[in-house]
Amino acid sequence: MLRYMINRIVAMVPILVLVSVLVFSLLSSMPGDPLDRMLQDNPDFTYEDYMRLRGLYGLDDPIYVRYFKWASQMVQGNLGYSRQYKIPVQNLIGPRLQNTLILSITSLILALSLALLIGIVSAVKQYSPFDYGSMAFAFFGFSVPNFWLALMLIVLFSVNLHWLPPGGIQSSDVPPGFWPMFTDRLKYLIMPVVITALAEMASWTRYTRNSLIDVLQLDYLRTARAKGLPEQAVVIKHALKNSLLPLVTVVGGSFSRFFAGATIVETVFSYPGMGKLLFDSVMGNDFVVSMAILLILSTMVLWGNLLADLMYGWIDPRIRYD
Amino acid sequence: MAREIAAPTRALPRTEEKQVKIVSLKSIVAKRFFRHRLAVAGLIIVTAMVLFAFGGPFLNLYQPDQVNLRERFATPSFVMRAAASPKPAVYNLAALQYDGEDAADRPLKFGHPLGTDDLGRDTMTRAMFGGRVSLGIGFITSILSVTFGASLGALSGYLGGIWDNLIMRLVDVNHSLPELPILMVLSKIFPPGFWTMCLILVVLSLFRSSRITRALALSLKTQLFSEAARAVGADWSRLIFRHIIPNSLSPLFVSLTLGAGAAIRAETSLSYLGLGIQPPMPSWGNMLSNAQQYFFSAPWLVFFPGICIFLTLFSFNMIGDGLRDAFDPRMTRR
Repeated sequence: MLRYMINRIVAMVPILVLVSVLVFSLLSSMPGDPLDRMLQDNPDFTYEDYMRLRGLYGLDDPIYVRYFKWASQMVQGNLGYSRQYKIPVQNLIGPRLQNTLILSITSLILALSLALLIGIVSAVKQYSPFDYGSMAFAFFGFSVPNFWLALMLIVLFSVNLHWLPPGGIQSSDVPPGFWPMFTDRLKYLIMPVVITALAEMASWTRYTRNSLIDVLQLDYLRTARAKGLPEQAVVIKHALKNSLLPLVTVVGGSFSRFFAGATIVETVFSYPGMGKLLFDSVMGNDFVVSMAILLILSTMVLWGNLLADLMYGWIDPRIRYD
Repeated sequence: MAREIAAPTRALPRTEEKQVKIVSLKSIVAKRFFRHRLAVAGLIIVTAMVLFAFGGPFLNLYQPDQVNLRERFATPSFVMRAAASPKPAVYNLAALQYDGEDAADRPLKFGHPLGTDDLGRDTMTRAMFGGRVSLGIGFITSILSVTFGASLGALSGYLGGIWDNLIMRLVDVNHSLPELPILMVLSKIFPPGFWTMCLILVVLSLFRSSRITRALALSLKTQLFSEAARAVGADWSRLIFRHIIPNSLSPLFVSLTLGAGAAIRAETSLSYLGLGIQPPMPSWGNMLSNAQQYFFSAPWLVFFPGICIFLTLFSFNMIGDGLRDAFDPRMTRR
């Protein structure tokens, strides 16, 4: 088990290196360079200054030299300096990452628990009105474009009903104390969390339902019922665990969408998370910031897949790691 | 009731021949697909959308970029009063209002069924042309990426060894790239337009169906018919393109429909963010981003393009679901 984990983590390294090379070359072929911003800010900036600074910052070096310079700083923990925000990238990403984690972990928990609940009930009551209703809802959930639904919810809940704030992260006039702060943050989180959770929840509901229906027809469950187990124990203890494998795969694979797909949600709700930061830095040619965020996202994807593979062994003890 | 048998039945004894109806796999699949009511509904909606987008402009009275400042933010209606004839006076703002005092005297004319936007452009016409862009990108991207991805997967599974390793590492890298951010970067690198959107979407979804065909190729290449084909001297390309790919068509049809939906979703998201199709060329996504700032005064501008996207994605998902069920061998008795 431990050896398997170490092997997997070692195998991540070449993939990450490949990803970083790919992302680095993509980002450096984007039009514009970090000096553009200086050029815009300062009318006294001459062409000679521009050329001198290009040489000074090593922007004239061939791409592989720049990559190695960047990579050697990166492994030492120096992510660079943001031209747009004028602070080191570490300090920039820290709070943003925290905001994104709050958003995505909340929606992950919401999506997973609702998907399991609805999926189990509709599998047990297959072809009931509840089943049809939840399936219709699932199809709605993964077909509706999230930015459009977000706009519609803003119109409904913020503009017409005045229940929820249309965007941002907290009010400016919160009384001090944990609970007022908490409820205030919560109000700002509701809509982004619901939108982020919806699409994944919809597809996970279907996975749970379909695989549970398959498992429920198996012989060993008839045995379980025959020996007098209550239906609840049959479904929850015996059937559910065996039906979780496909769900675990999709959940592990959806990590990237949770963090990166938040780009749109964060942009619509102007929620200061990593997705919005990434969008702003791509738009503003903030090279090192985009690079750092893209690498963090790719690492999360790889960890998500590893986590899913480790979960298999817990769910299905027949799966061995060697 | 006639029994359904998918395989050729030459070996059946004569006596049974009267009761057995020979049914091809294709007709079984079609029958099952058409029994899936939602999938049929999806097919109808997609057909209607295609007709709307590609046929609609031939019937319509407006051009997609026909600006009419007298009819800015016209509410959705089929009939409307013609605009007042321009008064000779300069700066006569009242003349720009088409429902002035003498509105009842002016003749009725064909209105804007889905309203107009901030420049008085007809939303329905723009939705049609936007549909051409969005649907076109969806179909082209999905066909190209499934074709390439499936061939690569089949090659990888069939050839094995170093090729397999190489292609599968590429697939891994492709799967660990966060999709939307990379699309954002790519659409900044290449000048935005219809074909570049297709290109970057194909590049990013290139390996999406590779894993399916690789797994199928691994099992199919050991089967007897492959061995027979090799025995009569077929080379690898013939095996892959004449035997392995045709045998893995059913999951590929599913990924084709779902891929079209995913491409349309990606295109509209990018265009919504302002990185995809650029105005004045309409796309369902950039119509929404333009409409966003008016959604208090002109909510129809936000509503209709969104409904178009939603209905299209919904029907592609339905069709994909219907196809998956229809191809599923476990569903024979239903």
